[in-house]
Amino acid sequence: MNKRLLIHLCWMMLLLSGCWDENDIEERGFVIGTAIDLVEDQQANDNPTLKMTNQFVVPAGIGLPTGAGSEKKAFTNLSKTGESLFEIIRLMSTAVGRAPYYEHLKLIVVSEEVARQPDLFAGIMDLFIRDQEMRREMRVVISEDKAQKILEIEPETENLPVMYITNVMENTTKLAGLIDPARIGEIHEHLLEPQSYVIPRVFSSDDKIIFNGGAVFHGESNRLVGTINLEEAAGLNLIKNKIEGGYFKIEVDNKLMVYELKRVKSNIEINANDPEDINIEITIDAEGNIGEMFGQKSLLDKAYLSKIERKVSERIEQVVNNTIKKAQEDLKLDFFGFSEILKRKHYEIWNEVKENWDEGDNIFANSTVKVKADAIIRTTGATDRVKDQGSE
Amino acid sequence: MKSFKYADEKIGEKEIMIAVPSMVIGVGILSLPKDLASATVASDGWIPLIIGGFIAILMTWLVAKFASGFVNQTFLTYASSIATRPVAIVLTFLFAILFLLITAFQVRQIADISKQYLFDRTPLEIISLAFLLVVMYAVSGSRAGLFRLNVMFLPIILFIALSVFVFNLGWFDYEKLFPVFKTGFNDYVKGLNTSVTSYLGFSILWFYIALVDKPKKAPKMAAIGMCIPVVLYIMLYLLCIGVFGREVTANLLYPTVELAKVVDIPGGFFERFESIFFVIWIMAIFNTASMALDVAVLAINSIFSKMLKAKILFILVPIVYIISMLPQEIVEVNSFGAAMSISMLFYSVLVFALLFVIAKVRGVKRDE
Amino acid sequence: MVSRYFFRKKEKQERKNKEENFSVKKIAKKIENNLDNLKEILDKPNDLVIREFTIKGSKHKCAIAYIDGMVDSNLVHNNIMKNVQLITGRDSLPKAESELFEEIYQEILSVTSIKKGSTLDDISYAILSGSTIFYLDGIDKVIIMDTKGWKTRSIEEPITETVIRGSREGFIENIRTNMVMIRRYIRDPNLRFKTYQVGRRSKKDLVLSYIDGIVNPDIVKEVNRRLETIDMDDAPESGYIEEWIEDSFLSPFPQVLNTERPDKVAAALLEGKVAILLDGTPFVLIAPATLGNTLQSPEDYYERWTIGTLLRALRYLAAFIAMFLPALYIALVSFHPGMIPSDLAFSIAASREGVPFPAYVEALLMALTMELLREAGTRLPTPIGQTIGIVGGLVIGEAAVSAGLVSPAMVIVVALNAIASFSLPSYSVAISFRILLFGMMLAAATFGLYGIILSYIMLNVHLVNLKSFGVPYTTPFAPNFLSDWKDLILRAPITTIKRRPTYMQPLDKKSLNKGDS
Repeated sequence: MNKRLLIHLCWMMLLLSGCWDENDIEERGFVIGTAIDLVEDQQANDNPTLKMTNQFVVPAGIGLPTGAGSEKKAFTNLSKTGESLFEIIRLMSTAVGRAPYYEHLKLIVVSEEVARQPDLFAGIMDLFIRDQEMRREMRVVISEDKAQKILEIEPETENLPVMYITNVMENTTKLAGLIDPARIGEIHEHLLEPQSYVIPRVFSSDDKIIFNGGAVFHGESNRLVGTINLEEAAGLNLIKNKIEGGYFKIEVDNKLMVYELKRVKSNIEINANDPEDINIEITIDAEGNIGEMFGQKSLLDKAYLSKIERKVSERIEQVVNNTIKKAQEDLKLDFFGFSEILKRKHYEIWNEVKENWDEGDNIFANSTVKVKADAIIRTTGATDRVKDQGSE
Repeated sequence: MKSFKYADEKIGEKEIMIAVPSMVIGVGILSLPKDLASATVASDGWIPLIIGGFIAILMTWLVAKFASGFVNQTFLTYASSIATRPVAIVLTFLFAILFLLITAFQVRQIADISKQYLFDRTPLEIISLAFLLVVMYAVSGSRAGLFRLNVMFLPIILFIALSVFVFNLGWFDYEKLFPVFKTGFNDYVKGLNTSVTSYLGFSILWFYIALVDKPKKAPKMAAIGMCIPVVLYIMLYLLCIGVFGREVTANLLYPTVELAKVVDIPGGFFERFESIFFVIWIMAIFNTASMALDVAVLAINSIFSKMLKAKILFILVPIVYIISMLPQEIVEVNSFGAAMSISMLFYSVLVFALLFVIAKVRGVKRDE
Repeated sequence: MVSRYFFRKKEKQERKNKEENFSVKKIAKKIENNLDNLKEILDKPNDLVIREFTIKGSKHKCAIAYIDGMVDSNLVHNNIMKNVQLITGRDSLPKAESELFEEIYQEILSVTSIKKGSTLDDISYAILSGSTIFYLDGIDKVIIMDTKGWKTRSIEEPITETVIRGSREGFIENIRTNMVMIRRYIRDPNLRFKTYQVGRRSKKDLVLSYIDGIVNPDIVKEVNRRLETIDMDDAPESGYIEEWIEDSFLSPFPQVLNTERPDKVAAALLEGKVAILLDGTPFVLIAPATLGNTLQSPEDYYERWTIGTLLRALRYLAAFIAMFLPALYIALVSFHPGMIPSDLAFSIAASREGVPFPAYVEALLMALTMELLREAGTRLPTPIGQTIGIVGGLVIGEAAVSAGLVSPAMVIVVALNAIASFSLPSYSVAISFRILLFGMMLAAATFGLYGIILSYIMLNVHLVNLKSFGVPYTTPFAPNFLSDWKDLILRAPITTIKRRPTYMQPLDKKSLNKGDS
């Protein structure tokens, strides 16, 4: 008897309750990318005025297999300005017919201008981490000029610019200098920890997106303090063991040769017995093959092969050393995560030096970094040599 | 009508083994890594987890052993034969209140977390009410049915936890676990406090052992059952640290759900695994809430043996609902939860010590 | 519940006593009176055949009576009429009627199933079930001879449960034939058929069948108790019996299985279940049933175990789709579009562009249409039914999409759902699942995924409290019997399934290798 009453109660509840969160899919405005810029004409305000550009998907423009509605553009960009992003988002809801919906947000572009402002970057990221609509897989990139321009790219292969950009980002394995796209989850880690970090930097040209090294952020203040170029980024990747592919051009006997990286393994040893003089030893083992060669010498010659290997090793050492030099001398910032290793392996010493690691006394800048690379060539490709000019 | 023996009012020892983890695994684990991580350095939280787990297993075994000495006697009966009946009534009544609080806490938490991961505008009150009504429906059924529900749901819950684990291995960075053993002693104690209270649930044994048909095996089975959440918690905790790092773990509201957020099922129909994870987890929370409510009903029923079960239920459920709606915001909910679990812990230990000592002093016979 | 059955039984007992007082009418000695009485009871129907005659060489008046069409007329002519009429071939006829009667009973009538009757009630029941009555003047008894011989449908392939591989035999309306079919499958002397009569007016034969020594006697006792409570005018179909004896009439789940297949019944009997046969219907009930049983088909065992396992697993998937798919669609599209992969989400959004209804109305509309189509298809003769299917499925679906009433995605979802629900092995199970589907859709329309999971929990609460003749409906999931999992979602090789289902608590536990320990 009671059970029956209960069942009825449950059903009645279901009927009475209505549908608060029911909102059909076609009535939502899917935001898939957002760009954040600084407004030029600052009013007499303490807080900088921000401009947020959202890329909305226009489902009708994506087109059905039947071909209906294919003339429409598949996306539309909308900008609003304000002091807080939340405010802008709310303002934007009043301007579009469909309530903005951020669960499919994939890309956040922040302009360098914004990132250079003190404390602004963390403040912006806060919203994207805090809000439950957001995913932890969203990518963050820094744009050299106006971030809005990145969203205005009209790619030829894809309907949606953001989809195009994220697809390009997946190709980081092809180039040693491409920094892994930063997920918002990682950014959350970086914001909470005092280490410096690097976020990929892009610019657009000719409706294409070009990746250009990375933007270095200062760990404590979370503001952009410098940039590194592609080659320096390659060095960074080599140290951080983040290379999944790429190539190095080398010259052997004045002939150009391309070494294709297949596997790289780096190992960092920190000798911290004396906090005043910390020794960092980086050993890099690379494995790869010959991707392209302009010479005619046979690669099956052991001596010749080891010569190439030596050249490659030298080249790797040079790249890595350049990056370290930039970090120690130019930026005076440890964006390699050495302090993290120090913390893990030598917790006591880390406690001693953590205040003065890359600021204050800047122990990092004064520490010695030794790089040793060892490259081997696994295969020479399908052929020994393509051109044969007879025996030498 | 008792024609076919399925021992409906009796519980097998297998059911006890399932009931203990079903009771323990609830909302606790969703936020546990956060509390632990904020107390300890890097992955050191596993030490309090393992010590706390050991204490919990020991307590489980002791309580079950003690209660199983009184074959087929309710808590009230054997408590009154050890202490006096008035004391036993007070003890039972306090247990009932604590279990009601547990139910209320689960009911409240489910609404809070649902608002985080599933809903936006649906009012808290409605989410809680819907859940509470389902819990009430379950409790109004047979007690054997409740144990069968545990048996049905626990494998699903463990499966989803395991799949979160497996899918996250790709993001797992073992270097984040280092350095080890760097936490100060005081912090360990703080962590231990968090971890022991998260294993609460063995208190149901005070009441359920009376229903076991072969109590001899029950202590061992209950202890084995307790091992399941211990292992699960340690796994999930290490995973949280390995994926997020300590800093982030300590700063996420529900790190375990966020773990599911990281998951990207290859070629999946679904994105946002955390919603699925949480939806499945509702079953775990349901198990905890329904058993807690059932024990409360059982306790009250043993005091007022003339009252119908349904009547008690109709009185208790509105009380639970009102209690669950009392805290205003998340901080209050959390401190409510903390206060509740600590008092449950101390109360359980107290009751055990009290009954054990009096039983020894007065030489009350336990039928071994 | 218990008291209800109890009272009903008591009432019935009282009524029976009353009836007996009223209708125990003894047979008179005079044959004319008897024949008049018979005619009066049946109100002189024109299919009542009464042949009066005298035995040659004596003045003894006799008569035989039967209902035309219900008896085997060859039998009546050759074994009864002829024998009695040509009785003179014998040397001497006993003069006394009682001796003559006894001699006819013992020596003359060459019918195997024969008995004496002494009340009018006996006569009317016997004649209405196809017996022939022999009257002899001056005797207050009659001889009742079983001469049933009406036309029955021949044994055909069961339409509702076709299999690719397996027996083509199906039950028919004749209960005797059905019993024979079961006997042919199980030649065990312990196979029991216990006969009941149901229907206060129709007085139909109902047979409870089980194998003594396998089945748990408690189950037989319980089924027996419930069968005895049955008190209604008529039981035209075993569905009546099912509703009368099932545990919970509120539950959407069938707690008694029905089948047209003798092999399925035989397998169930060997598992320790009981079967209930009713005269006049080819559908035999199997009890107790569990959730797992509802998703089993005989074919799982006839194909090799890998195939059987695949079919089983597929059916569990089908059950899931049948119950949840449209609800999930509603929840995802209306509540959690973030859970759909981006590309899919955009194309669903594009395809829903211009659809005037919210997703749940759309789903409800389509599901209702589906139900209508199904119903129309069943009621119409087969060729037209198929046409309706095509017209409904293709034309309406296509037209609705191009008219912008529903989105193509919805059509796919509903179609998939319908296919899944009708791939379940039993029609009544499929319909039960479709009822639940509507509940799920409602829950999804209110609370999204949260509503679905709460309904799922409620469903489970209902299931664990449900029993079928004392056997928990959810076993062997819960209470858990791991050894029974060999034949649940998977179908392990037959050689490894050595035990009968534990959850049935059979007396004889082993089904294989009886010799070894």
